[in-house]
Amino acid sequence: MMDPSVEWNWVLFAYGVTYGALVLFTTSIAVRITRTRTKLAARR
Amino acid sequence: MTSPEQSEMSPSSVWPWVIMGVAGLVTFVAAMSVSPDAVQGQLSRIMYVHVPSAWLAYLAFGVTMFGSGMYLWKKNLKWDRLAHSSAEIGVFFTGLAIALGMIWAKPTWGVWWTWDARLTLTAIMFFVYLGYLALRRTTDDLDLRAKRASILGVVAIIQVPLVHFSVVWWRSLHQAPTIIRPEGPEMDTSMAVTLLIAVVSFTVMYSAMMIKRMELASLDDELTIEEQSDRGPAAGDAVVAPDLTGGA
Repeated sequence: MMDPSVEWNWVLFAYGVTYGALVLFTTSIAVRITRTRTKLAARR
Repeated sequence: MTSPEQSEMSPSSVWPWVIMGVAGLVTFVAAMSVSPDAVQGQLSRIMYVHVPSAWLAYLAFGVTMFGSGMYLWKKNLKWDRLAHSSAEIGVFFTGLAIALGMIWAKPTWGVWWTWDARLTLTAIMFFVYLGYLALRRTTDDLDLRAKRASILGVVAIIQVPLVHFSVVWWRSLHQAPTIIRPEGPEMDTSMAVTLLIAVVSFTVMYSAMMIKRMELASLDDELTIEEQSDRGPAAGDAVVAPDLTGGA
């Protein structure tokens, strides 16, 4: 079995990727909602 | 053409974002609290985000098929928006499942990637649904776009059982099912309960994401309709229709 500290590095890498990707994806949805609302508001 | 439900710029709700954050936190706390696996050690903790991501890919593409089928039947654009929103989230979680699988594979298998049936079919599924999203960008006509995408949305679902059962049907490096199998679960109870908590939390997160993504889809359709109504004929008044009556 691998050294537990090396295993933890892989685990933290995986969770960093997961939560980093989730934050980026949800932020992209929020930004697109805001941008589209702004465009619609400018037309009315 | 069915117009989107007029949101009339109703205020955007905040609670789906809060639910996403809480669901993410619950998964993290549960995954970090459980004891490590006897064989894989701490690496087994990757399972609590890898498996829920793969599950959400299946669920999201199932919802895409449902929305696509309903659009082809009812011709109501709200079903197309459901299918589109779910497909985008499904592509995200498929990509995440692949990335997490690679991070888990390197320390356990010794390689980032291998052309195993499960991995290869998952990669193909990822690219097919990316193609679904690309197909939607080929036209501004909302009904034509919905029709084209819906046909692919229904047909592409065949990949989900192929991916899921690939580890049973073909010899695979990827491990076989450990929870849903005829002989019963092959996992310690505490790990199975933690995995269940992670799967439920991710499903709640998906539902909250869908609420916000469908809000965006509705706003996008509204904007497209407004932009199209502003446009006059392509050539304005410069082109006069020819007289096809032969002067009669």
